[in-house]
Amino acid sequence: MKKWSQWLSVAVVMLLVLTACGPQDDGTDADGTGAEEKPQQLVIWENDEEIQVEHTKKMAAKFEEETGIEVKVIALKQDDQQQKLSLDGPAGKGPDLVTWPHDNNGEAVLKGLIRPLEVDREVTSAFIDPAIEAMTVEGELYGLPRVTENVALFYNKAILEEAPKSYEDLVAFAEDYTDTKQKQYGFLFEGTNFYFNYFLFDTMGGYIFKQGDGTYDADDIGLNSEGSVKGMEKLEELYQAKLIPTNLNADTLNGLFKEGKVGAVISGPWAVRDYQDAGIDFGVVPIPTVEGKQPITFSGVKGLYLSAYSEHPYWATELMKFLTSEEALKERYEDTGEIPPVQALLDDPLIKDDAIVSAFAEQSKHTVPMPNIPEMHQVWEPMNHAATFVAQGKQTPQQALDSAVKLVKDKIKAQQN
Amino acid sequence: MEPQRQPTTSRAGSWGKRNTAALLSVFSMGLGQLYNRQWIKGLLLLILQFSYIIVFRDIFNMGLWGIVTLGEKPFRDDSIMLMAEGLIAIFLILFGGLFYALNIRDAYQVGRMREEGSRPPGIWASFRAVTDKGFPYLIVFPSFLFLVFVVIYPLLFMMLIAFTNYDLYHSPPAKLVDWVGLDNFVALFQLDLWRNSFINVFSWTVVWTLVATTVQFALGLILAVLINQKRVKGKRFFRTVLILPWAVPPFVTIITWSALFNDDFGFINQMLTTMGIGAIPWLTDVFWTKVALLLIQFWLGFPFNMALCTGILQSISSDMYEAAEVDGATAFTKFRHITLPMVLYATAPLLIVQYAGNFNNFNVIYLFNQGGPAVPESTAGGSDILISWVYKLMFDISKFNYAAAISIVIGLIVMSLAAYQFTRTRSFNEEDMIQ
Repeated sequence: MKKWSQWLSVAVVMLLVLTACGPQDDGTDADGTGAEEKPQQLVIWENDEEIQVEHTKKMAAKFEEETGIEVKVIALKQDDQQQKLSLDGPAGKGPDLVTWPHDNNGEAVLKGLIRPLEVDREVTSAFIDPAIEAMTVEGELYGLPRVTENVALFYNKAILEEAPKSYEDLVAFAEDYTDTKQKQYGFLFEGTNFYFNYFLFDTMGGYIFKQGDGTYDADDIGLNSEGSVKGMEKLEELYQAKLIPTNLNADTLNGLFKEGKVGAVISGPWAVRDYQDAGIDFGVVPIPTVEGKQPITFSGVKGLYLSAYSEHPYWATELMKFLTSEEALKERYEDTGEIPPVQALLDDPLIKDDAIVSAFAEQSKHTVPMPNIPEMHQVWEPMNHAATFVAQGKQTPQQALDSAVKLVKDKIKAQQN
Repeated sequence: MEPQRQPTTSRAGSWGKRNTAALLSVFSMGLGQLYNRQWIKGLLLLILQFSYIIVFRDIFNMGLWGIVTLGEKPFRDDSIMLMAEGLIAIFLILFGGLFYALNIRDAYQVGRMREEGSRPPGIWASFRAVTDKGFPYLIVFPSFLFLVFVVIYPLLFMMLIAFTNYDLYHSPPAKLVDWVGLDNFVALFQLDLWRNSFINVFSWTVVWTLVATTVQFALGLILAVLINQKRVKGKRFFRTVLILPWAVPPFVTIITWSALFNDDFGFINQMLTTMGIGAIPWLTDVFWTKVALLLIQFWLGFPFNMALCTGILQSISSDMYEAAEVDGATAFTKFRHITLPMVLYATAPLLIVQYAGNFNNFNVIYLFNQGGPAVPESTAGGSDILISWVYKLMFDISKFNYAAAISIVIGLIVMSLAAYQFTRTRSFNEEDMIQ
């Protein structure tokens, strides 16, 4: 009797509560339509590098002078912002603007965390094409770019008197100079890392996903197409000639270059200070031509995006335009050393006259943004492994790429099923 | 039930005051108490009940609707938030139900006291009864509440996710998450890609757990026995040196070993090359990666076991050994029949903990080679164990639902392993061991 009545009471309460359930729909939508009032305050999440935060705070003060809107700058690691936005947004504590590397955009759009921008052609035409492409998902523009980053060729002036004219010259020099017993190498790069070896695939005519107008077709994967196999064969030659150790990683590569044991390496702007501190006298040039063609490398673009939870989309977009204007990005370059993806600034004497930065800037015109669709996340590891198997001589380029593509397709299927 | 109605001096078994009081309390908290003339207690319970309903009304409403439907309109309803809210609502209802049951029981018991002719206790006496008889419960209650929300709540949340389709393509706010029943578990064993990965990872996990833990314990025991010999001079020195691997943070140790094992530049391969053996592909060959991982785990794991066994060895009385020597036992026989049983008897629980620990030893696997090297056509690396594979599923392909499903499998395995081991040790206990 007792037990039974307890259960009954719980059941009754449950039923009572369940019958009159659910949220009250008051018919409001989160669409920013119509004229929007000036907000008191806008919030922006900036990556937690001190110099970047300082720069943005300075700019925020200027924006407040111009418009009277206070801008709150919160420092938060860029790789954590998407996760945090998906938690803070629904709770109504989210920011108006966020920032992260462009390869997260597809995922953010898929989750509905950011919303398309309404900006004029004249705003977007100031930027270099790859940067705008990086900000575009499914043909819609979702952000404005602030920074572009890509690799270039560093050469040690004590070993190579002048920059190599072509990739072929570089390989020839490496065959001459490399002596694995002495741990000295002519030319090194992280050959088993798809980010670094992509230029070989691209030059030989390979592709990752078929590209349409601002869209990628994830069903059409060209990583084992004829061109890609040729690119992988080029890579294989380096390993067969023992020019590059099979499991070279970034630490080892940097260590060897800083010891002055390597003629040339492919690396990015992040390594510049490290090499300078080691006292190496080096020069930087764009990646030399492969079979007479200027190689295309990957670029990573960091942009600003408009949160889907923002209640002031118009003014947040104004702030975004302000922070990505030519003057603002020029100042950002002076403050942080980050290369602006703005055509006019890349040709500006400020950048042109800096021997090192100008090489990265020059190469940035010959880049393709890493595909920003979520399916791209599945490409890295299999492609790195394929290169590893080829480097070790376990598989031929064709075999390695075929099984990599099969795995990429499997993983995409697994991700989507 | 007897047909004729009795006056208040009823016997047990008939419908008396106790049942009336209990029934009134079923309708609403406090009514039975009021009927029992416990005015203050009844009033307090009534107020408690109505404030509970008023305060938590919204949470019940949203939470229960949310956990059943997981939302109906994208952007307005965030499925994951609703699931969290729903769990809280259910917890609150369970707590409420517990109180409700206690109130019915109380009304019933007081009713019985009145039938037996004794006066119902006043409010002060009731309070005293709670603090006296229910003292342990009163003290445990806050920590129990804490435990429910810090341990049980996240666990249940994780388990619930295993029965949804929560992944990258079903993520709030743009999409809703739905209940899918057992689909994830079925998919894990049906899709070729997943089944193969699961079988490979699972078998290596079992081998890794058994070999790593058993050998690290055996090594520790052997070293402890050796150092414990009477003839050994400088016991303290040896102990200190051998304890050192335990003193360095394992995080640092593993990364250092990873560098030492590097195929081309590592110190170990350089040494092997100068010795004329030739370099071994420690990081690029699955078999050798597993060997290296085991060696590192032995190195990390033996000092603790050595310290443990040393303590136990010193507590075994020397009478037994002397008696054994009189009977003409060899050193091995003494070890086999005295030392080993005594040590195992004392360390069994800790040994189980170590087995479970290695089963989920994420640090060593992930820091040494990120679960690599790559294996053609598998979603996991060659040396991945279940726990590091779950990590990859979460962060590489955002399959939160699969990761949760495999976590449940891991949990079941560890629990059954522990249960089995504990029953085994109980059989140990039943042997006549000398204290």
